Amino acid sequence: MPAPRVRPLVLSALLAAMLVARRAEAGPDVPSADGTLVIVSDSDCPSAEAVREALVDLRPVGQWPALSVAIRATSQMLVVEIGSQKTNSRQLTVGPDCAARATSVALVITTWTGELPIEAAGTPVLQPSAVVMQPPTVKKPEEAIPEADARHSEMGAGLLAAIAGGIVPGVRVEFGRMRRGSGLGWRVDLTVPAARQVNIGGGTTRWMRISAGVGIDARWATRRFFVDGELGGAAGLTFAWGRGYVANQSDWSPAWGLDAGIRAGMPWGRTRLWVDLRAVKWLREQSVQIDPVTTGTATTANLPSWDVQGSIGVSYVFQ
Amino acid sequence: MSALAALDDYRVRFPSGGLAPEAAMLRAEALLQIGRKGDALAELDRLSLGQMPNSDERYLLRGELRAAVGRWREALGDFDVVLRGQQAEIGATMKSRDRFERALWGRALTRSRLGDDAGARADLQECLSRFPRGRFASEATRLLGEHR
Repeated sequence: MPAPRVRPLVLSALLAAMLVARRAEAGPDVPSADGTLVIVSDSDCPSAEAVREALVDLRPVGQWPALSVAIRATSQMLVVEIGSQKTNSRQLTVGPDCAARATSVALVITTWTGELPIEAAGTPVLQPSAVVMQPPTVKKPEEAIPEADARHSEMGAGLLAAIAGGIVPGVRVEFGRMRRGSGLGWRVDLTVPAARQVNIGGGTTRWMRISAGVGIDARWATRRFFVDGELGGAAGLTFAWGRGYVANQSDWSPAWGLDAGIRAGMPWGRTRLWVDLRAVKWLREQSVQIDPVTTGTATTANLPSWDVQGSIGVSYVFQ
Repeated sequence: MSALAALDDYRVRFPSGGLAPEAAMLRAEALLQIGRKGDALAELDRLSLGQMPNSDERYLLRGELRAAVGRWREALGDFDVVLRGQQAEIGATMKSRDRFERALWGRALTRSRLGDDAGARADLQECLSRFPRGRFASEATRLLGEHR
């Protein structure tokens, strides 16, 4: 069944009639104080005057809105721009009847510029502010950072260069318990330099001294920088083994000594980057000895009683 | 009632007529006039307000109606649209100032109902600072003072 075809004039007239009736039911509107309505049309179909005449039927002149309306017309389309903003436009598909076009525009103006009632939106319900509900507290200085929290642990590792008896690389690992900021702490470490060598008795003796240390650490720190001074003791194991001899043998011997070091570093998040310089004085003389195969005197060479180590490394800070 | 009947008749006869949005808007207004807010809201729900002229005032009315029936999220969306649109012309006219103030109050209401207490407070503060003698000033002062 075909859809009913209705002429635009009939549609507009019907809606206009309804609008007039609705206005009558609603009672008189509040008159506009300066009801100046400016209508501009780029066409005679509809002309601005025709729209104004149509509008008179829908709303008394005294109640016209104070704004400008621009009408752009094509053969099948009307664009009604209400106000200065282009977004406030209404496009209508229209027929050729100029009176129907005028009525349609008047209806659009009346509909979209009418005063609307104000609906009560209710009252916000605010929650009591948590900040204010909490009683104010003043922390005593000693409570601000509990004693247990005033210290932290540092686990670190670094690369070192041992510069006594030849320069050799090595590694250093350490664990420390330090006070936050400046103060005293302690640290234990293990250093493993690479093997050094001494030429003696027609062959080569290689030796390596692995040491473990424990020390008291004094730290002076700012937010961006810290300096540590450390004093402690060290215990070591010295290993030696021969190469190129008639009979190659190996041996080991313990050692102990005193350890002193200085470190400078900077915090970087939860890590500490540092450079470290330390010296160990071994209190027990150590030497390698090459015994003759048959008869004669043994040949000996003392091993350095000082170890000097320079390191760079990084530590991770945790509770 | 005759206007409403005529509008109903129009909808039946021309469900997709070129002036259908106008008919729907007029119907919503007519329903509001006789106190049928639920039906008016249903009419506004169906309208594509963003494509209509002067839609801010319609968004505002729809937001208030939605808030009145507890449709907080949808109401918040409407108030947001109004406030975004009004930022550029706030203070330009009395009407735009009025719309901005009502939308701020409405958003404070919806935010508070949705649990966004900080947002509600911010809206009330803005309402007070922009409109210290506005229609909601005393109530906003009371609310912020009581729950400070």
